[in-house]
Amino acid sequence: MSDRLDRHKIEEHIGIENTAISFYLEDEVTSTNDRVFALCQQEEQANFVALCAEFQQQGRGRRGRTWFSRKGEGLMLSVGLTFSDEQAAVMQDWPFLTALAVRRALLWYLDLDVAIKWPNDLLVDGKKIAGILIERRAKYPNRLILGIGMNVLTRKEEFEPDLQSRVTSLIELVKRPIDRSALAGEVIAAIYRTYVDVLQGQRFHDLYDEFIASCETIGKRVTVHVGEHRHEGVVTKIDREGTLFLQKENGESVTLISGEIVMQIDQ
Amino acid sequence: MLTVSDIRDFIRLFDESTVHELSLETGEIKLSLKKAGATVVHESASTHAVFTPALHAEPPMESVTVKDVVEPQDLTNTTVIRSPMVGTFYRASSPQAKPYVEIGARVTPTSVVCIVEAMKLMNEIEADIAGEIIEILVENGQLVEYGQPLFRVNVK
Repeated sequence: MSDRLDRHKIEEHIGIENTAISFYLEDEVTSTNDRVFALCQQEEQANFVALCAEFQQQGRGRRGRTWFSRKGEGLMLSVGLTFSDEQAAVMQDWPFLTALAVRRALLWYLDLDVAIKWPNDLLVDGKKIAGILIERRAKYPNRLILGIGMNVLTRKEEFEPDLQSRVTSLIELVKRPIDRSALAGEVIAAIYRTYVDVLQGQRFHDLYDEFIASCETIGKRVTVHVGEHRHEGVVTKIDREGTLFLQKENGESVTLISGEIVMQIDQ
Repeated sequence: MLTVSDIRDFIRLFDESTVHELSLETGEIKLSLKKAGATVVHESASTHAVFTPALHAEPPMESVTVKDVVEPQDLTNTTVIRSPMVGTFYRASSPQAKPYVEIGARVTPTSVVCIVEAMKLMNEIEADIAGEIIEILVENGQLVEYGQPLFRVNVK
């Protein structure tokens, strides 16, 4: 099952009157993040550059893992955001703000309630439906590139066998046709609304309650991979900065600002 | 008992500190470190390590000599690139990609030398200085603190 992304439909859902958004639709790119970075270089004045691609040759997940998606089945989009020097401090909020924005779009457009796994994977019933990778490149330190990959139309049996227990797609969850173009527009619009809110002073701690209510990580017994290290324990808290607190079995408390939760034993 | 590795760590910490002189005596080992103040380069300084075994060392010392400690690390004209944030240090943009820099690489101030990741936000880190990478001070995937030295650079 597949369709093609439709520029007009996407723009309609972004809100075509929204001239503050520079939107691009491309068929095939190396990676949407790389492409948006190049577009941001071309459009020095643009504060919000969004791109959808049907296919990316080198889609990356965390630490270079390939984000697999067949043409016409997933949603791969990136958004480049610009911040002033004064706003630089808000950039660290975006791993969480992006997850909340995508979550809102799915709730609004599909009436689908997704959970957030710290820091910003999106899951339903413990299975991943979307991943987020954010980059801040040295050449433009006041820009962030938000990369979002979402499983939309891929059927369960089409995922690699070893992934089937860990990932799912929107079509498997909502069991009705999903228009990827409309969804793309809704996701971009939700990120834009968040961006406007941030420019008006909103911070992650203002949305902390919403994040915690949708975060499935707290109270879970987990293993967190941090680089080459592993930490096992129970997540006791995520604070208003997004820091994760882990209580190990030996009573030791570990605070983490980086890491990947790879196993949730109590699920 | 101090090991060569301990002494190296002392020298490194001393070098990166603002302290100009340090003496340490433990058991049969006496370690004196003094910076030559006139030749300070950036955060680092030319460091002279004077390693003086106590006269009545019993039992016999390990064969640690000044040569062992100092020669591999002639720190004259060197400085360090520090982490501007807390996070996980990565030498490449992905595990499949080549590291941004290897030992011997020439860098300019705008050369990207690594990524420091926090909360899945990948921050490219620039050298901010021109020179040659002579030492990589942290392991790939290691958590780094704010201000922690990541690379040693020969700026000559």
